Amino acid sequence: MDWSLIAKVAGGGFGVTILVLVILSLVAWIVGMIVQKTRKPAKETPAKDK
Amino acid sequence: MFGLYETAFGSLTWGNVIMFLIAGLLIYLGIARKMEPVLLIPIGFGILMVNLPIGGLMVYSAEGFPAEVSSLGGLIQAIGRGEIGLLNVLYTYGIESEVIPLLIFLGVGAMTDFRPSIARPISFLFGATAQLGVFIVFIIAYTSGLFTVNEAACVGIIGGSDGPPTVFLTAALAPRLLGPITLVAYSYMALVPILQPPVIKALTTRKQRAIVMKPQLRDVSKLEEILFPIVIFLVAALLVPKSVPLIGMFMFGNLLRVSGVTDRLAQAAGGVFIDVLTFLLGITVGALMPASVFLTTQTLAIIGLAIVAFAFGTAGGLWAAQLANLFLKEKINPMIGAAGVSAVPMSARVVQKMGQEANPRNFLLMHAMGPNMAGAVATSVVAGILLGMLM
Repeated sequence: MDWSLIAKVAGGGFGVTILVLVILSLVAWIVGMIVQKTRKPAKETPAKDK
Repeated sequence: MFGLYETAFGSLTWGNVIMFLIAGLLIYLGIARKMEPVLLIPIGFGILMVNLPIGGLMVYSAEGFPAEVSSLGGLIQAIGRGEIGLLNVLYTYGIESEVIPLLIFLGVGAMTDFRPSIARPISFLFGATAQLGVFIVFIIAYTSGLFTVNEAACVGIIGGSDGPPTVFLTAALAPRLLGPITLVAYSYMALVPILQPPVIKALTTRKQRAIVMKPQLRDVSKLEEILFPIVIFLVAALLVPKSVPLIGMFMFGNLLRVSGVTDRLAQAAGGVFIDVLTFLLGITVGALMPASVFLTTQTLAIIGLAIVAFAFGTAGGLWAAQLANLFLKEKINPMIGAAGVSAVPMSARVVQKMGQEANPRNFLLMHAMGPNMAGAVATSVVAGILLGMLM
């Protein structure tokens, strides 16, 4: 039984999975934040007196 | 028959008869119980076809592998000579080449709404931790001595409960087990409403299950929806290059959906296109299960290990959500972590149902859809990582 291979695939694989998904989560969060900040707020149109 | 030609009765084995019963069961479950009918019915019929002796739709080598289709040029002659059958052609050009699972994933992308994941990016963490079952089962399968390291990885990926990555990885690493692994993966996905609740109940308190979450997630703008598949694909492709085929097709399909100008393409990809590919996949996978390949201790082990994979996957997502609650000001219902095992949308529905049972004011479906979609991305990443390590 190759225990170093088991450790590499199971431990390393799961660790890398978590790391990659954390990075993707951060990327999604940053993109969302940038888009929300750069979105222009709708201009308020002053009510016209008739 | 009367000395004129050979019937198949003389060549039938008990193994064939057992496979007929299994095929009948799958077709029954598909039709009468509506369990994944679009897959179980073609798989069941494929099993019938391959277990009829002398039929010749799928020819096997003496070693138990589908006979190889050598070249396109000699295809017609090879079929004529009975060296290969129609399903050998579908297997070689559709599944062994990975074309069908990847195109199915394109269709899945075209049907996927990522807004819940975009609105709550922490969902990706639950999708990641829900892959725990993949790696636990890899260890058990490999140390059991029944599977090689590549086969053990493919048995483990069942725990990701996502069809196309499972087929993709198994076709690359352990094609001999493609039939049983695909069958077990899709069957168990249909059984998520039975498999998940006991695990969730065992690992959460009623108080935790009753945690109410705001019914609405934040609004996601059109620009965010469009940027999401492009950015996620680029980053995932750079981090895990072997996942490019899966993530690429998934995100391309999604871009067709959200772009707003390719509605017809998205509808086609998520409609007839995916239907045709699904039944081709089903019938070919069924044809990968002759008695000699399916009726083995490995198949029984796969059936048992898949339950372990689903249980640990559910637990991984739950534990991550419980851990997150230690740091979050606004607590989340830990059950939404369990939806990270993918199985879209069944596991999200399980969470919704259990949430309502614990507290009728709870509407968790949209919250659970985030980890559910993230789970699909995570399983593709895992398939890419395993390919990178083992190929």
